[in-house]
Amino acid sequence: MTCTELHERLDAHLDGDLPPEQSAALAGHASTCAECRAELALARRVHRELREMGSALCPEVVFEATLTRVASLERPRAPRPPVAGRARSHWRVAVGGCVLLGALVLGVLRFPSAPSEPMYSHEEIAEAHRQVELAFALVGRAGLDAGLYLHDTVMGEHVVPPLQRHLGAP
Amino acid sequence: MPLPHAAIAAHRHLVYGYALHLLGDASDAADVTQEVLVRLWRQGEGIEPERRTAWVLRVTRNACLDALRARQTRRAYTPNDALAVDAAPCNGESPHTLTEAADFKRRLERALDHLNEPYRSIIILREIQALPYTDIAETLDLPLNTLKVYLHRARRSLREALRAAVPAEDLLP
Repeated sequence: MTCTELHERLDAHLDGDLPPEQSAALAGHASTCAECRAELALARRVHRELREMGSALCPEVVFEATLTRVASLERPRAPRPPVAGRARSHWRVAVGGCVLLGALVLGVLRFPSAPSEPMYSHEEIAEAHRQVELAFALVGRAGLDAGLYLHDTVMGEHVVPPLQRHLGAP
Repeated sequence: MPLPHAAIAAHRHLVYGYALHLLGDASDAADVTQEVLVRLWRQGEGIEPERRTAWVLRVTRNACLDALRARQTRRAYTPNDALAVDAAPCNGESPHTLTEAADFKRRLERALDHLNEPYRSIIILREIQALPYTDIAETLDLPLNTLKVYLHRARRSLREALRAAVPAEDLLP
């Protein structure tokens, strides 16, 4: 075995991974070469010292602190507001709603609305109608400018007549 | 489902030892150990039991590297530094031998401290903690053959650092 071969196989020899005949050859070379003998001794010593350093043991106090943290995480979270409290707030809303509804019903029964009379003159309604048509014309123009297409049926059937009815137009 | 406490306990020394050698500071190692073990407990049975060791070591290493980046410096872990000579068993050895042994140990620790990653981790996990190659390879995400090449380089680097400092006649029996 040469010095180079010994250097290459030193680790395998120390790990016990070298076949017995190669280990014997390595030892044989080391016995005749002072430099390789020193290298082998150094490798053995480093190996031994590192093993003796050993893995430090985790102090009990560290592990106990870990278990304390784990226990705090295991505990259930803070309880939500009691169900009775939440139910009470729901009841408040329901009762409030009933009172309001009752007041409305009573108001309607007690003070029935007067017979409807036109609140606006025919001239005012006609003017409003004209304003609405103008507004729709503007909307339609804006729609065209924006590249939108408004169906006449939509405007003519579903928008203008209900508005007219609402305004009391002739 | 979280892990039972016994499963966490089984990994505590491994985590603490690795963190202590990487960080060189018992207080920082304790912090990392707690973090890693709590994370292990949280992960619970989501990690396959046969991969748990590698998972724990990988998380420990990442936590240590983060701590080192935050700290910017690494301190050598010297368990017997101050007491090396006094605490060493006498066994009839001469004061010169005891001093030389303490000196060698100190130099070795310093040489280990100067190794870069992943060489340092490889030495810690293989030489100090005596873990199997497969666990180390999975921890460091290295192919097995690459790991062995790196281990060889790391050992050679340690020897070179010590060879320059220790006379050959001190090594030979």
